[in-house]
Amino acid sequence: MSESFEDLLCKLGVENQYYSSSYIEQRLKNEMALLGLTSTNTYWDFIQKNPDTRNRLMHLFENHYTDFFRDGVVFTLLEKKVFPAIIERKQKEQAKSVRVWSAACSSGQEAYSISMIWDELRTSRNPDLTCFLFATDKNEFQLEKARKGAYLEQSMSRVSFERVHRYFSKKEGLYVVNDALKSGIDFSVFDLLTRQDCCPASSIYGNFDLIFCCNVLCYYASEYQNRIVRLLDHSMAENAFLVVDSSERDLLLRKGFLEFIPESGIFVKHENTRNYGP
Amino acid sequence: MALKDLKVGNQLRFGFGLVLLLVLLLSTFAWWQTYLLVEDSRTMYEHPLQVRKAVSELKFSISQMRLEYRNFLLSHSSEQKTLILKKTENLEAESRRQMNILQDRYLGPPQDIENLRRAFTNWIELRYSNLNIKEDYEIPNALKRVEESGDIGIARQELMRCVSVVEDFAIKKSLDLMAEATTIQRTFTERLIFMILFIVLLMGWLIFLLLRNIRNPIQELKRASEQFNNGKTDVRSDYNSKNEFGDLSRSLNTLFEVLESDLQIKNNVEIISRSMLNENEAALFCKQLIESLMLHTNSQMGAFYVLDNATNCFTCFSSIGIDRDCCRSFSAETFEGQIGLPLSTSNMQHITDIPENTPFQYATVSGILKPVEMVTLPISNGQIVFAVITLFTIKKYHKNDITVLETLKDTINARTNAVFYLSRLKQISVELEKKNELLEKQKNEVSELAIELKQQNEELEFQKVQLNEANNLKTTFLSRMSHELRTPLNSVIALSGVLSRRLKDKVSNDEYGYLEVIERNGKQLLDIINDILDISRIEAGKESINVTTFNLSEMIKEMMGMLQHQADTKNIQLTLSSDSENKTISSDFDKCMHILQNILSNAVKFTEDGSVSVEIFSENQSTKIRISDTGIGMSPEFLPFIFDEFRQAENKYAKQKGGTGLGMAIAQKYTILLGGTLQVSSELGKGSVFTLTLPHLPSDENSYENRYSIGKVLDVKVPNIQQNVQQPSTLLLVEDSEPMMLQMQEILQEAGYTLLTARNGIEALDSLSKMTPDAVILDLMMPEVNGFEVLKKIRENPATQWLPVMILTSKYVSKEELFFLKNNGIYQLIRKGGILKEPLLKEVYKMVLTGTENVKKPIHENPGRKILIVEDNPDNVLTIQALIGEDFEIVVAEDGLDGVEMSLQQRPDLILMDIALPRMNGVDAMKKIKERAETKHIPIVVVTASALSQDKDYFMAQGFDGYLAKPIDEELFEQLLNTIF
Repeated sequence: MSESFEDLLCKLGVENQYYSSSYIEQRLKNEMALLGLTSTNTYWDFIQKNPDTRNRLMHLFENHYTDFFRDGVVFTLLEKKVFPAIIERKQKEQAKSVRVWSAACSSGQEAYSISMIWDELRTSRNPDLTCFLFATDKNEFQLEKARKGAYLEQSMSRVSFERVHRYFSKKEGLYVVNDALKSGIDFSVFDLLTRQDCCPASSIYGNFDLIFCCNVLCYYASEYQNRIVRLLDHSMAENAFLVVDSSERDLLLRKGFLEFIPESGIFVKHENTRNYGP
Repeated sequence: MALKDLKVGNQLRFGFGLVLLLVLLLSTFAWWQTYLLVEDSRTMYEHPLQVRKAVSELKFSISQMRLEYRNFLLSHSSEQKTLILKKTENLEAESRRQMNILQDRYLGPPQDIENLRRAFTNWIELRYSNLNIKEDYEIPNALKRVEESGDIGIARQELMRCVSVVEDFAIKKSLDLMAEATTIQRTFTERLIFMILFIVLLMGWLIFLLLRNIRNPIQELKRASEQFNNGKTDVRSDYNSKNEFGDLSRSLNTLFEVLESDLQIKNNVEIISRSMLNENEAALFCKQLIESLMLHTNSQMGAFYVLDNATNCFTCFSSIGIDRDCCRSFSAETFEGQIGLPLSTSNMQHITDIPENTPFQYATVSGILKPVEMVTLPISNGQIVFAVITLFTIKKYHKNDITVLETLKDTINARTNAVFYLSRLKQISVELEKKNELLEKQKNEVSELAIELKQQNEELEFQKVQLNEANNLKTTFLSRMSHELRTPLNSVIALSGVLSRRLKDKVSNDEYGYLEVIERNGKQLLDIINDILDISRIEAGKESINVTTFNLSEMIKEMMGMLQHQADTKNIQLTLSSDSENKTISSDFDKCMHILQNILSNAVKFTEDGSVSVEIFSENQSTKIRISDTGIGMSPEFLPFIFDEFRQAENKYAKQKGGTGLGMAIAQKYTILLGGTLQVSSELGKGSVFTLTLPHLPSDENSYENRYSIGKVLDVKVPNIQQNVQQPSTLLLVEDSEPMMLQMQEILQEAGYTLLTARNGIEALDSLSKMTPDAVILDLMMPEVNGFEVLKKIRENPATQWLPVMILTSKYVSKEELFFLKNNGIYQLIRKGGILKEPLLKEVYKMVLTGTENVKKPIHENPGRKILIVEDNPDNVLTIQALIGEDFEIVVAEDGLDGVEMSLQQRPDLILMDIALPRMNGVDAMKKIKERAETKHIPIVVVTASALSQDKDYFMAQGFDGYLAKPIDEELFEQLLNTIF
């Protein structure tokens, strides 16, 4: 990061320990471009004149963007390959439940997408399995949105007409997720950087068969990436799947994770293949 | 110019009247001309036109008559002839009627009409004569008559000629009339154009006059007022007339004059005021004031008199234009002379017409001039008049000048006051400055002193830090030392114990007695070390207190029981009196015990015979315990130092009794920790009285008289773990959340447990009353009856008192709550989300095992068991070996790394682990061993000289399966082995 940006962060009192420098610099540059400012000094003056901006900046580094079926390929693979594999294994083991964790669910689209796919599989294949779906985020405000499950029309663009018809009802111009779908998801606050717990309290003992953690790792500095990956790895059951964004694949490959399907960002847990080296 | 002087209203009326008149004239003229034209056309219509019409009719009738005649000649029937004759008659009548019209309308000579009539009658008569035709042969004759040359023809031509005369005249007449009308029209147009031109010109001239008369004065007034506005105050309106504008102009001029004079006054006032502001120095100010007053009031002489406080006289302070001799002084007391009246009334006085013989005179180059008028202006500071200004003129004062003075009166007053105050202030400030300088000097001296003091302070501060460091070093040193001392003692005490057991009946009684001495002295040394450790811990601030409610009387009775033997041998009576049978107190159980033990054992120790009595009573909401003895007592000089460390009465007897001199210090420090006081009174040779006052500390929970704890005796969490449950165990799962219940059910049933479930506290207790499970997994946060209450109920019921309970909660547990849970003997507290599936199942398994494994198996039934001792001190190894005996195979590792290696190679059944080890410390070694799948089931017990209670908690939290303090207590060690094997 250039000195001027470090200087600005210092003035702002932001401790840049979690996020990667290039990510922060990019966000600050975007923000300045929006305001039509070119130097960090003028930006600092602007912030001093407009105290609201400061609060905005503080939340700036948290990225809450998410979408239904954000990566079409991943969700197709989930439907055609991953869930069938899990179901097959579970039936062999005579287990009763599938445990899924959406580790940074933001406003809930990801969790609802998974839930929709599971529901469809359940009706079509009728496996005798319960799905425990835990969705967590560290931001209580975003979680509240997720719990409400009401979305604008423009965010429904990737949801097929049939799914909209089946899982949503329109209320006051918003698309609201049906109660049946909602009740299948346990939303709770969980900070992936916590040192206290190793999995969300609502899941009691982790042991997940599938974890979604997309677009989280890339924002963090490498030390914290390691910490998060370690936590995710510990809370995975044997042969469980971990889904990350395709941009974060390299990171997990470096750490010795096995990719389930090449280039997909879907990894499978396998004993003794990982290292948490720096 | 007559018009100009007319009133504006009249001017306008005149103008508009003229316009109206002209319009009337124009319209009358137009009407007249139109009338003429109309008359002409009427004449034309009534005469020439009617005449021509009548002539035409006449001609037509004549032609008809001729035609009818021809028809008559041609017709054969008489009927037809009669009809034709009839027609002819009609035509004749018509012709005659036309001729009457002609007679009426014809304008030419009446002779013409007469001729016509005659010619017509002639023709008609001739025609009648031609009608009498009877036979056809007569027709050609008749026709012949009708021809041109016939008589009728001639008569007819004559008739036609008369008609054409009339007609021609009529045509000529109408042409004349037409020409006349055209002429009229032309002249009318010319006249109209001329008149309009005339009227326009006239109107233009009128408008010009009116405009000029209105605009000129307005412009003049505007010019004047604009110039006035722009500051030319001497400008006047030049317009002069008798009308309204003239009046306006005159009054405006008057206004300007008034304003000008006002402005002048204002200006003067302003200039004078400004000049007053220029100077603050009194003398210069007065001079300038008079100067500007004179300049702007046209005075020639002026003087400024000031009250001299010393003589109470007004003396001349400054003057201009007055001869030196004239400036005499006036007494202020007697209102003397010129200034008398102004002085007494405090008002300005204006004297006119000064007589010729005034002493004042104005010297000019050309002689002496006498002043004519003078003005006296008193200046007061609100109470007294302290200055007077007087001005003279050799002319007369203008009214404005006096107004200027009147206006300025207050300003002069205020300003003069200010200047004089200022001058006094200056004087005072100069004095103050001098004093300040003096003070500054003194201050500098003081600050130098302060700096010195500060330096001294810093030195002291530094010394204090050094002292603190030294004190900390002392505490650390004591703690280290005691730790170091405990390690060798371990061998001494434990081995002497082993020897005394093994050598019993094998050596002589004397020699056997030596062993006893060694053991007793070792234990005494351990007591001393423990005391030192206690003191250092208190001083390091590491002591915390746990408040519980307990039975104090019971505690003291127990203590007395322990001392009874010693008392009996010395023949001392121990008595206890209490104001109530079961005295309870809220305080720290262990610390109270420690304090009372110290005091009581001291009392017994230092009493040779007589009695030691304890009294318990309540006073002011606190509990007092008085312990009095009839012992050796202390001298008053020593009393102040009794609670100091390492002090003991300088007394041979005391020396003989031994002790570190720490007991009382610890007792007092603990008392302070508990918020109480410890007082002592004593008399040498007669005895001492210790009074301990303890307050009731607020207890966090109600009361825990029963202190349950599973594994309290041994601190062993788990015996050896086997991976399969031999018989299905029943678990009670208490959980209010449905999803969590489902999750737990799944893994527990999968693991083969039989499950009872309860959705809340009430259901849980209900379920427990029907059937007792092997263990309980309990949530804390539940509606109605929460986990704490359930736990309490479980512990209160004798049937479930020993039931292992695991707390599984997502609640953050506070220190107080944790204390409650500990005191109620929970097996383990596990946070939801803080554990993974496998460890959770393992914990449940361990818990069930703890609950079911009640039978102790004797050591000797397990020959061939292997124990790994990880210990770097060979003496300690020897000691432990001696304690274990020969029933076990013993392997020794000398450091942590070796320990890990050996554990893998030898696969022992138990590992005893020291903490302070070379290469790898005990905790890390334990973790390494537990990480390996092959060795992770081996129980590891920590053996350490770190004997603090928090150390124990720490080691257990790290994952050790048991804890043993050095020096190793033989009995406890045996119990440990029994539990594990």
